[in-house]
Amino acid sequence: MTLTLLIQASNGVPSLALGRGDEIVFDSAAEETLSGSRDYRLMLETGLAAIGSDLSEITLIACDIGPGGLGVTRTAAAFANGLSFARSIPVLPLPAFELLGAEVARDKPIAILRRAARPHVHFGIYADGKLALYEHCTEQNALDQLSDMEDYDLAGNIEVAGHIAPVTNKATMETMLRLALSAPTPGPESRAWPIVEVLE
Amino acid sequence: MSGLILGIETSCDDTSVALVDRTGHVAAIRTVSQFEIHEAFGGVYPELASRAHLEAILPTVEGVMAEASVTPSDLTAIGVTRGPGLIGSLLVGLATAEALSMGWNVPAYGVNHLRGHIRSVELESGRTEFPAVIMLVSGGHTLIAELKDAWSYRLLGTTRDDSVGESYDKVARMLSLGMPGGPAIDRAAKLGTPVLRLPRPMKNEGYEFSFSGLKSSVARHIEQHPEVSIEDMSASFVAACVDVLTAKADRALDECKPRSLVIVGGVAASPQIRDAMTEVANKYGVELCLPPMKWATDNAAMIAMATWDYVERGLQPDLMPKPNLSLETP
Ligand SMILES: [Zn+2]
Repeated sequence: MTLTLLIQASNGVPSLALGRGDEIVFDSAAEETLSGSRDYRLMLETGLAAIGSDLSEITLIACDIGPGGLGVTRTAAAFANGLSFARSIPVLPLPAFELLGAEVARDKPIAILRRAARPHVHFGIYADGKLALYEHCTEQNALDQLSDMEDYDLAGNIEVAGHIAPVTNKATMETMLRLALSAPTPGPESRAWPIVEVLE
Repeated sequence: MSGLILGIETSCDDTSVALVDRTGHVAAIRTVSQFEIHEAFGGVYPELASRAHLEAILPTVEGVMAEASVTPSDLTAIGVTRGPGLIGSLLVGLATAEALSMGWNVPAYGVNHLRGHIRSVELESGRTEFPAVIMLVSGGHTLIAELKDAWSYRLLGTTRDDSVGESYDKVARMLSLGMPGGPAIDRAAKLGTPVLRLPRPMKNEGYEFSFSGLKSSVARHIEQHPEVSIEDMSASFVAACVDVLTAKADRALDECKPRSLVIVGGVAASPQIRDAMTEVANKYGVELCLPPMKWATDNAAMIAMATWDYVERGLQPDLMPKPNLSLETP
């Protein structure tokens, strides 16, 4: 059975999970001893030990590439890429807004807003099972676009006046595993490149 | 102990990877410069540096391993800079090293970049005679230290503001001499005469340095006398720097009575500084050690060389980034 390594960090809190087949068998977020840890090696070793496995069983690494926290996302990508290179395990890059969209998806479009360097934000619209729009723009520009939308669910870490608070800023590892397993298998040279802010 | 150490250096704006054996022989080294990325900003732009490291690091590791026909089983350890340096840049090197370490089952050590500079003297050339006095002069650092042996250092003094290399670059910009500023100023200085009286900050006080006052004084002079000769201005600035640096070296040789004086860092390329330091060393009858220029600037070979000390001392690998790591902490 396949073992998938899942890494998420762009919401600012690094976490790592292992999926065996289509089931999450380890999630660092549930381990008290790993609370606040930014050490991916420690998280992975703890996870592999907990499920009685080792690196040789991992067949895919899925890595959240943001947008979001610059340092944490880049560190996660560096670790994922390094492990991929060392063990010839393909890396599947997964945009955070696709993860959030799939997490929240119901019958309405989802607006996703995440903080970037002021006055900018990361802004996305997820609708009909896919990310229909992504922009790094000013907060005002994003709010103007939202004011044209009739009804939507909100995700991310920015409140919108007159709308209920964001549903979540992090996809569950179950959602991430589902997306990873349904994506085409990446080639051996595939790497995780974080979605970065456009510098003015 | 046989084998090779894979060194990784990403503390600032160059991605460098090298393979070095215990004797200091460099089996392979590749350095990807980010000069063109940062040139327009007039200094290193940290976020862009970090992005560029992520892109360059694995192809660079792959390149040196292929060039030296090395497999992971040939590696004794991986050594990676953990500080001082830019946090975003350090994190990329450290996370990559951690993953390679786990994937290859080879231990990885977080290494003090300043110890790397000090060990650069041992690369492919003669050994340092201990005890020694070392002066590190570059764009990133200015410090003077006493080395009791290859491991035990006593920091004598460091800069309170700009590094000497930084002030070279800033003055070069004021004189429109282009980048990198050091060689341009040295060339111009050779054609001029040090006729302008510039301050020698902290020359007579202990081992601390300060270069920002000197830089400001050059700026004031240019503003008040726009007709000043670039050559004379350069010669006067270089004379002031050389005066301060040699005064500190002289004091350290007098106090510490070492067997050698080691000058490392990019500014050690300056022929004026080399000549002046030769004189000071001769005055005290100590050996002057100047590493070849290719090892004087930031590079991964010096990090790999320094890693051998960590391995042989049985230190616990520590891959926590330390942007303000001081010389005395491993
Ligand atoms: Zn340096």
